[in-house]
Formats: sequence, C-alpha cells, structure tokens
Amino acid sequence: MVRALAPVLKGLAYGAVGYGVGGPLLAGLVRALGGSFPFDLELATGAVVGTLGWLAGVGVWDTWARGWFGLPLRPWPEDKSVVRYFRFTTDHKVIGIQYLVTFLGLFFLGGALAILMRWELMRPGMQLLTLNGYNQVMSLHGIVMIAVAVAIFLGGLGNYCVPLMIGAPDMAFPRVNALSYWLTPPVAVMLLASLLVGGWDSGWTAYPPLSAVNAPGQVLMIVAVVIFGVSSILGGINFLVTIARMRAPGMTWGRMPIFVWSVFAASLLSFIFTQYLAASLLMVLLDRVAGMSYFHFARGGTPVVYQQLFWFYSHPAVYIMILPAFGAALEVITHFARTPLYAYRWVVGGFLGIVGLSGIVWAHHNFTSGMPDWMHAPMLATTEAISVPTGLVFLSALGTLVRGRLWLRTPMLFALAWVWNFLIGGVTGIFNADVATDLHLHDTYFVVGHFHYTIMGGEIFALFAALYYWYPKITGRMYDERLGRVHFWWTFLAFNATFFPMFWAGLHGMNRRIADYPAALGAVNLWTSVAAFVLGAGFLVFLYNFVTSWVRGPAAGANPWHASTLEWQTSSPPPVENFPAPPAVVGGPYVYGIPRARHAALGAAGGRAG
Amino acid sequence: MKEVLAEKLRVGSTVFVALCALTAVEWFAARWPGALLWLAVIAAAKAALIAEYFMHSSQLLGEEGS
Amino acid sequence: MHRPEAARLSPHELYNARLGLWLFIVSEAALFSAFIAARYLNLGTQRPAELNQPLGLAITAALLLSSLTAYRAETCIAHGDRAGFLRNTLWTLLLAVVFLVGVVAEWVEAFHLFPPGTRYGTSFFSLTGLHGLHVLSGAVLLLGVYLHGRRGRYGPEDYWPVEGVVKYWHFVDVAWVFIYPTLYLVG
Ligand code: HEM
Ligand SMILES: [Cu+2]
Repeated sequence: MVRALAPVLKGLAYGAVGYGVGGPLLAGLVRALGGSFPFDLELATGAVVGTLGWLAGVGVWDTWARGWFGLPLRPWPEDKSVVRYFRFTTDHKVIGIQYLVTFLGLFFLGGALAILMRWELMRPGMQLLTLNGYNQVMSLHGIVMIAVAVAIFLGGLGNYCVPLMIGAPDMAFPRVNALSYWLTPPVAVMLLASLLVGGWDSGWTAYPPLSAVNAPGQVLMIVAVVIFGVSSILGGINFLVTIARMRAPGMTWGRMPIFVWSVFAASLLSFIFTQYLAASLLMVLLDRVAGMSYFHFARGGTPVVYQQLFWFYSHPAVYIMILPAFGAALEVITHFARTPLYAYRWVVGGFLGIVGLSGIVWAHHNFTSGMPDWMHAPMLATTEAISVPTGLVFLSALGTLVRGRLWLRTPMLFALAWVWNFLIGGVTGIFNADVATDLHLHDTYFVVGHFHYTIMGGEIFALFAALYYWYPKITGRMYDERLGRVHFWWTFLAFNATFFPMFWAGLHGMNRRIADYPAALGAVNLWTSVAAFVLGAGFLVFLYNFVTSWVRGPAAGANPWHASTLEWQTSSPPPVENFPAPPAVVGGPYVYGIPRARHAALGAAGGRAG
Repeated sequence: MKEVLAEKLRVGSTVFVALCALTAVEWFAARWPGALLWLAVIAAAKAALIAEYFMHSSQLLGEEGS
Repeated sequence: MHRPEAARLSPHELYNARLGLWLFIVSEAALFSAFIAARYLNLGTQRPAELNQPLGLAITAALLLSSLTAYRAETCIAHGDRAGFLRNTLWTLLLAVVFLVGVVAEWVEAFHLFPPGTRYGTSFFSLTGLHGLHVLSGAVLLLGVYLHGRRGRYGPEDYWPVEGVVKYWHFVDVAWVFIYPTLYLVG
C-alpha cells in the first residue's frame, strides 16, 4: 500500500511544504519587513508553489526535471500491477484510466452536491442549507461538473483510444501527457479547500463585481481553474501533434475514425481559447490582490468586459465538451448499425465548421448584460448559424441509423438516447439565441434545462455509450449486459423526468441559482427533486456493474463487437507498445457490408481486420 | 560552413535593421490619421519578419523525417 | 553532461517538437491578446502624457537587439561555432537584464504617476508584468542553455534545446512588438 502510494505521498508532502513556503512563510516574511501581503495573495502564491511542489514530488523531478540539470534520472522501478496508476507514468493507456477514474470520482462528487441542492429546493423555504451555503454548493457543483465535462472525454477516452485508433505507439509527448494529468489532482484539492476559507458564491462563471470582492475561497477557485486550463492546453497541443504526426502508414486524414476527428477539432478549440478563460480570471485575481481596476466597481472597472472575455472561452468550451461526444456517439452508432458512417466527409466539415463558428458567437450569453446594442443581432445570427454544422452531425447519425441494421446493445442504447436528448438541447438553444425570447429566459431554469440537456443528455450520455463500448478493450472483460440495460433505462427516464420540467419551471418564473422560490412553484420543484434522487441512485447500478465486471466479468477477447477500427485489432487490454508492429492502413475505417474491403492489415493479436 | 554562417548572420543583421526602421516609422504613424490601423499593420509586419527570419516559421512547411 | 547518442531527436521527433512549441506559442499569443484587448475595451486609446517615452523606446530597442543576438547564437551553434554561440547567448542574457532593469525603473515611476488602481495603470502594470514574467522565464532558460553549452553540450546535429529556447525568446519579443504601441504609442 505504502509502496503503491509512495509517489503520491511524496507529492502531497512536497505540495504541503510548497504551500507553506510560498504562502504563509513568504507572506509572514514580507509582513515582518513592514510590507503588505493580502491574504488573497498569500493563498494564490501558496497554491501555485504548492502545485509545483506536488508535481516535483509526484515524479516530475525524479523522472524528468533532473535531466535539465544534467543529473541522472531516477525512474521508478518497472511495475505492471495496479501500482502504476499511482505514478508519473507515460503510457497513454495508463493516463487515460487515471483521467477516467479521477473524473468519474469528481462526477459523483458533483452529483452528490446536486442532490444537496435538490434537497434544499424540494420545498419552498429553507430546509437544509443557509442561503450562502446554497450558493457555495451551487458554485462548487457547477465548476466540478464543468471540469468533468471538459476533461473526462479528451483526457480519459481521448488518451486511451486516439493513439490506438490511429495505430500509434503512444502520444507525441508522453511526459507532457503525464504532466497534464498530474496537474489535475491539485485542482480538485483547491476547489474543495476553498470551502475552508469561506468558499465562493459567484457560480462557475465567477462574474465580477461579486467575484472581485467575495470570500477568499474565490482565489483558490481562480488558481484552480487557471491550472486546469494549463492542463487542457497542454493536452490539446499533445492531441494535435499526435493526430497530425503519429498516424500509422496509410492512415490518411480521410481514413481516420470519426472519434479521432472530433478529438482533433476539440483540441483546436482548447489549445487556443482556454487562454481567454485564464486571462479573464487572472484579471479578477489582479483586481483582488494588486488593487487593479479591471472589474472592481468602486475603482471604475467595467465588469461587462469580463463577460465578453469569459464567454469568448466558455462558449467554445461547450464545444470542447460536446465535440468528442459527437465523435463517440457517431462511432458507436456506425459500429452498431453495421454500416459505414453516413456522410463522413460532411461530418468532418461540420466539426471544422463548428470550430470556425464557435469563436464568433460568445455574446449570446450577454444579451441582458448591458453590452453594446449593435452586438445583439450579429450574435443572434452567428449563433443560429451553428445549427448548420451541428445539423450535419445529426443528419449523419440519422442517415447511418436508417441505412443500418441496428444491434441494440447498451452502448447503442445510450447513443440513441444521445440523439433524442441532444435534439431537445439544441432546439432549446435556438430559443435562448433569439434575443427577444432570451430577455425573458435568461437566468431562469429554462437555461438550466437547456444546458443539462446538452451537457448531461448530450455529452454524458455519449460518454456512457463510449464507456460501455470501450470497456471490454480497456479492462479485457465484458460488463453485464442486463445491468447495462437497467442502468440505461433508469438513467434515460429519470434524466428526462428531471430536466424536462425545468423548461416549464423557467417559463413560469423559476430563477436559476436561487435557494428559495415562490410557493406556487412548489409542485414542479418537488417533482424535479424526486426525479433527481432517482437519477442519482441509477448511477449505483453503473458503478456496481463496472467494478464487479472488472474483477470477475467474463474475458472479452480482442474484438467482442467485431468492429473494424484499429483499437480492436490488438489484444484487450493492449500491450504497452499497442501493436506488435505498426499496422498498415489500406482503407476507410468502417468497412461494414462492403465486399473485400479492409481497414488495415495487421500481423498478430488475433483480431479480425474488417 | 564558415561562408554559410557569415551569410546567415548577414541576413539576421538586415532583418534587424528593417525592424529598427519599422519601429521608427511607428513613432510617426502614431500621429497619422487612422493611427490604430497603421500601428497594427506595422506591428504585424514586424512580427512576420521575426517569425519568418528569426523563428524559421517555414520549417513547418518543409519536408521532414517521417 | 552529454546526452546519450540514442536520446538525440530523430528528424521526426524534431519536427514534432517544433510543431508542439509553435502551438504553445500560438496559445500564449492568445493570452497576450486577451490582455491587449482588455486595454482597448476598458479605456479605448487613452494614454497619459507623463509616460517616460525615452525609457520605453530604450527597452524596446534592447529587446529588439536581443532577438538579433539570440538569432546569432542559434545560427552559430547550428554551424558548429561554439564560441560564437556562447558569446551571443551571453549578450542576449545581458540585454534581457537591461530590459528587466528598465521595466523596474518604469514601474517605480509609474507607481506615482498612474498606480495599478487607475484604468491606465491597470493595463500598464498587468501587460508589462505579464510580459516581464515571460522575459524572466526566457532569461532563466537562456542561462540554462548557456551553462550546458559551456560544458560542451549541443552541436550542429543536436541543438534542439537551444533552438526551442531561442524560438521562445523571439516570441517574447513579438509579444512586446504589440505591447509597445498598445501602451506607449496609441492615443
Ligand atoms: C445547438 C446549438 C446551441 C445553441 C443555439 C445554444 C445557445 C445558447 C444560448 C443562447 C445560451 C444563453 C442562454 C442564457 O443564458 O440566457 C446558452 C447557454 C448555455 N449553453 Fe447552449 N447552445 C447550444 C448548444 C450547447 C451545447 C452543445 C452545450 C454544451 C455542451 C451548451 C451549453 C450551454 C451552457 C453551459 C449554457 C449556460 C451557461 C451559463 O450561463 O451558465 N449549449 N446556450
Ligand atoms: Cu454559448
């Protein structure tokens, strides 16, 4: 146990020392010398130095940075057991699993916070939390879930599957990949630790002027999000170089599985736009710790500028979340419809169209913010224009379904539910994008319904499709199909029961981010809360299924789905080097029902190609 | 080797002179009508010179190992 | 400390490293662009008359010159001229220090003229501060490359660390190419 956790313990120790030196010690020193060192600043420097300490302890120093100083590296002894998941390991498959487990854990944490909120909202009046306590729970739920939505697909399944799907031995920069992962635990720690210093109550969007003056917990949130941003930027760059440069011979751009394309598109967004999130939060931080006047109202700042910069990232961010989900859902749909993906090229065009448009729609979040009037109409138009590339993705899904013979296993059920949920999410987005309508809908539960249909109904359902689909590859074992179906129907029905009434509640005046509401809205809230508890309980089925099947499920074999793409042509789980020899790709990825067509020629590993 | 090196160093100096000249122009451009646009164009030109000659941006277009 | 022969980058890996660094630079450029945009969004093209223009021009010149010396350093090692590489790296470092000292001098003055709580001061201090941190980190990297170089590392076939650090250094200069007019010239 201690042996397994040694690097993590070392990281924690170094991190604590780093925090102490960079925070309290430095602050105390400056104060002793007669300088001023605000507590906010102490938290920020402590958190940054603490993160560096954590990284050094957990393995960056021993396995990487010593080389910069001409010292010999000290790698940990080779270990093939579960121990390697607790190490600064460069194997993309290990890192993928690290991401998946970490962020599924955070997903359940965020879910528990949601249950708390729904408990409070079950009846009018206050029952469980204080007003301020509710705001903190709501804010923490929001940021944790956003982090999960951004990282779990790219970091988890992207890492695990992309190198396999393009026939590469690993990512282009394996150590940077490990760094991206190991930057995320401090993020979680900081978000939780923020509760010790007053939490923060400004929601995941952290709008000033409130965020410029509220409790010090806001500082930890800012540092956490900026560090998370560094991790996603490095991850995005890594995917771009990997996909551009590490493809197996013959794997042309036009032969890449659609999931790889979606990861590529999402990475384009994340490596460029994440900086605007960092910038907007850094400005808030500067207002707090350096007395600057970006947004601080009393000093003449302009808070609406924050909203512009923030959404310049955070709208593209929703596509960072949803693009890999598009890719994965289409992947599952085409394999389980046993037919080539319909309109492959149009989907690729749709992905790139989304990338292109997503930088010019941000202000649809600001229709009520007091931004210049002339921005309203163009942003309405560009936002609604995004329906075109999104529609292409949809048409491809529908076309594939129409032309195929559907094999209704659990992954396919989740993928079909994705079509339904995302349709509702997208259509309600159009209402939000319409300025006149949005003036009424903004900051109501209608918006809450919209983004839960897109993120939970769209992304998380696609995530489950993908998790069930790749589970046998990742674990080498088959999950329990019966429990999978139970989980599916339970989640699908409870999800819709929870979130559909939110549209109605929003239209009838239920504001978002409030702990209390008029008694007239009691019935709909009670219904929503009960449905939410049922939804939450459903995840236990999933958890039970995945944990027990990993331990004692039946062996899955290399290719239980008889799928054509490369990841299925090697053993389950794949060997460290992925393929005994680089596969030679000779055709498109989805060779179903085409006589004699082949995707790739492989030497070993017992799978069948095509 | 020696001559190649000397030639490349000369190119660097030429680019440097051009950058200085553009910086000088910036000073005056700040007073022209439409100054913001002029300044943006000049800055972009300076950035392009640095990116191409000092940072060898076209290396990315060229052939390489694989 | 010589790296073992096998650790040298293959042409394929070298290209990947370059591409990765370029993407990183583009991403960093986005960060600077956000702070530059905030300057215009917050206060348009207003500029205080008290700015120390000669000092601004002087540090701009120093940074521009350091790009030339950095270029010379890389070009020298690429052609096997170790002495030239070391000399030019040292010059670059010196100019980096000149630049940083200049910025500190600017800050001392600016604290009285337009402190961080004012609108111009906000953009002035955050842009010069953000950029200054990049100069500082670039200088540390240059120092590292210099020390390794003095111990006989790098050669015409194996100088990616030098190339990478120098590219980063040029990027820091490019950032200033946009910051300088934004802070000193517009308005
Ligand atoms: C299909 C096209 C879509 C359109 C037209 C659209 C439009 C909009 C608009 C106009 C708003 C602002 C509503 C308001 O605050 O008054 C909004 C909010 C939001 N949307 Fe969408 N959306 C679309 C897809 C998506 C997708 C795919 C996601 C995520 C995966 C998403 C996530 C969100 C989130 C998180 C918010 C709320 C942000 C907040 O204020 O906290 N949307 N959407
Ligand atoms: Cu949006």
